[in-house]
Amino acid sequence: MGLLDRLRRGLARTRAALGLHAPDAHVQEELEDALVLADVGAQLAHTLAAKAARAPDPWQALAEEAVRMLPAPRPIVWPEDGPLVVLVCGANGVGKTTTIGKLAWRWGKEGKKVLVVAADTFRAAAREQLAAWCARAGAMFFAGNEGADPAAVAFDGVQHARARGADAVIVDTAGRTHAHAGLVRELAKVRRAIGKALPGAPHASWIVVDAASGQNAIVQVKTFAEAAGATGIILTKLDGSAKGGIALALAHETGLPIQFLGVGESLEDLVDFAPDAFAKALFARNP
Amino acid sequence: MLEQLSSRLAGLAARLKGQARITDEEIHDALRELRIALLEADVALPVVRELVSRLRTRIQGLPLARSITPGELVVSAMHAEIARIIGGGRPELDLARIPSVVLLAGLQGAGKTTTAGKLAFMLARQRRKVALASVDFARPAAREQLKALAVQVQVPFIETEAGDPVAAAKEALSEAMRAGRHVLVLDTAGRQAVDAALMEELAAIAAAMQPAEKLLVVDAAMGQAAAEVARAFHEAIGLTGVVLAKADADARGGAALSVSMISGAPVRFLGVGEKLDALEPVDAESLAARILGLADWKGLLARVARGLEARASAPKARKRGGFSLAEFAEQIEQLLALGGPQAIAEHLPFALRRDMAGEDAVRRLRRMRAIIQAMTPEERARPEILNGSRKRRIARGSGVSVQEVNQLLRQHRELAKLAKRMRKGRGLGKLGAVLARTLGR
Repeated sequence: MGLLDRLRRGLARTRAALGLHAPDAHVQEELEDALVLADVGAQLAHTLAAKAARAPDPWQALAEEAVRMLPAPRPIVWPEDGPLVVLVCGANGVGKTTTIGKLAWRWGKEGKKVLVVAADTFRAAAREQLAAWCARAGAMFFAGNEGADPAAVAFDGVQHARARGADAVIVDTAGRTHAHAGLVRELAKVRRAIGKALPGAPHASWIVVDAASGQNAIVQVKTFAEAAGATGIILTKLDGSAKGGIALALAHETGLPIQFLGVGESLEDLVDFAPDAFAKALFARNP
Repeated sequence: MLEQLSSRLAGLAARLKGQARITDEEIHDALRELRIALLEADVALPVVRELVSRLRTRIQGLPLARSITPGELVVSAMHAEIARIIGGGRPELDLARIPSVVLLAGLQGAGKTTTAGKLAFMLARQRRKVALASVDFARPAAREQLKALAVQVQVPFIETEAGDPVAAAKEALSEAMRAGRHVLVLDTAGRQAVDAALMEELAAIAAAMQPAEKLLVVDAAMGQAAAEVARAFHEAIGLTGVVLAKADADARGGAALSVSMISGAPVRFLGVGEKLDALEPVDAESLAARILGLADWKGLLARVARGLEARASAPKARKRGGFSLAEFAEQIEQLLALGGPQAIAEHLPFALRRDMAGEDAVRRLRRMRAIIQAMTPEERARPEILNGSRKRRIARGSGVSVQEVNQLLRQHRELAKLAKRMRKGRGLGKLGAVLARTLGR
């Protein structure tokens, strides 16, 4: 299955929600409602709809505007000496652990030696869940004890990965609310610890966002971006009830690129983000 | 957003000092601000539409007190409506039966398992004999997570055998009863989407267990998808309550309102932190204020209450001039409130009576109301601007023919003439008394 097909499959709901036929009357209002229903947010929906409604083909105009708004993902540069270290963070229940399993599987398939570090030492059975995913994905697994200092676990994990000659290290952190300053500081500390274990690391820092999130995702991402020095976003659960319009709001408000999309529950359901394919899938009139 | 709403309302207030009643334009402005505020709080669009339209009919022509602004009046009315919807009126869980099952359902990652642990802890502290069990065989380590939580809150955890969730749930209940437990908190597999097969499974569990409470756990940060989720879960199992999880973050939690409105189930609890005692009963008024982004809502409500009292003792403001379409809509509303066709027929002004036969009156009045609602505030204020294309739009918007729109406008003109005559002190009598009651203030 090609990328576009996969995306289309995952976003079939989005298209259904946004309507397959061109509106005739009340164009702007219909566009605006469709955008609001997709979680673009009231204000941005209004601006985008007002602009697109004037175009000869409003849906086409929306798609083009979306491509302009959505930053392209940053290319992953594999270091020549030592592993690529990636820090993954996000709110509770957005799909961090599943996403990490998919990432590990993907890189493993590319012939990389992957080690996953469980720095979520808070949630009950978080390690067990991650270990189960690693077993499925064929990745190495490193965990600290429940209740251990996450920064220390991250430090040990990265050192362990260097000793074992891993090509990639994925550090999982506990889900946290951005409104809890102490937990946000802890995230910054984990990041610093990784940098001490391997200078220059983490090479990438990704915030996982549930596509079903509403407007609160914006402040969520902004807060994590500061603490974790985020370089990108992973948008998950696009196969669910969500429409995924929050991608536009996030691009508009944070400027961070989306790296990957989670489009299903199996290991291969993590696809590279491509602005034009995404916009096309979001606004295409004919499936 | 919080500041935004306040400054918007302050703007409204500044423009509207010392008027006798809310005009259509002010209502339009206030409702537009409210619409944006609710959407920014992630209330689902169909729910926002319904709320705004309810409020519009309720406040048209409302008299104003000098000390409160139209914005304040509109916001306090909306606040009351939201609190009524999420409050439901049945605050306590119904666990009288022995055994009682509390079923927790929700999307993946909503916070079901954590909520199960917190709920068991709360019930145990109320000295209920509670047990925990999970039939989530889909997520890796889901049962291990609940078991660990059970240990932390010192509540018995009933082991289940992976396989058929319905059989496992039944087995867990018998096991709980053998252990002398009266309440079983049952965690179920999360649904990624509204998936037909999984919904059937959930419905089968609910049918077999006959839970006393069926609670939907919703992430406070959830967006527009909440509407579809609420509909699907409610159809599958019939919800009795909503738990708003992760409400300790700064999300406004509009999803709770969407789910309550669509399912008719009240919001029961808020999850407010990672600790196991972080589950709070809902205070409907304060959750309503949070959704609206109102900082000083208690102050606002007090001000509005004082203002309304002051109005009751002040001399009545008398309105001069014509009879607007908004007033016509208000009158129709009052006629509909009278009840059956008989009562309505007795109160119909002649201008309307000619066009309406008994049984049909209610339906006709509703159609007339729909026509007026489909107009813009400007059209309602100045019906003379209604040209062919506007009339066609209104007809489409209200599901009637253009002829019916024309008929309504004709009726309105006749009533307006009548009202003018009346205000000059002529043509009173029974009809005059009716009109005076419905029009005058």
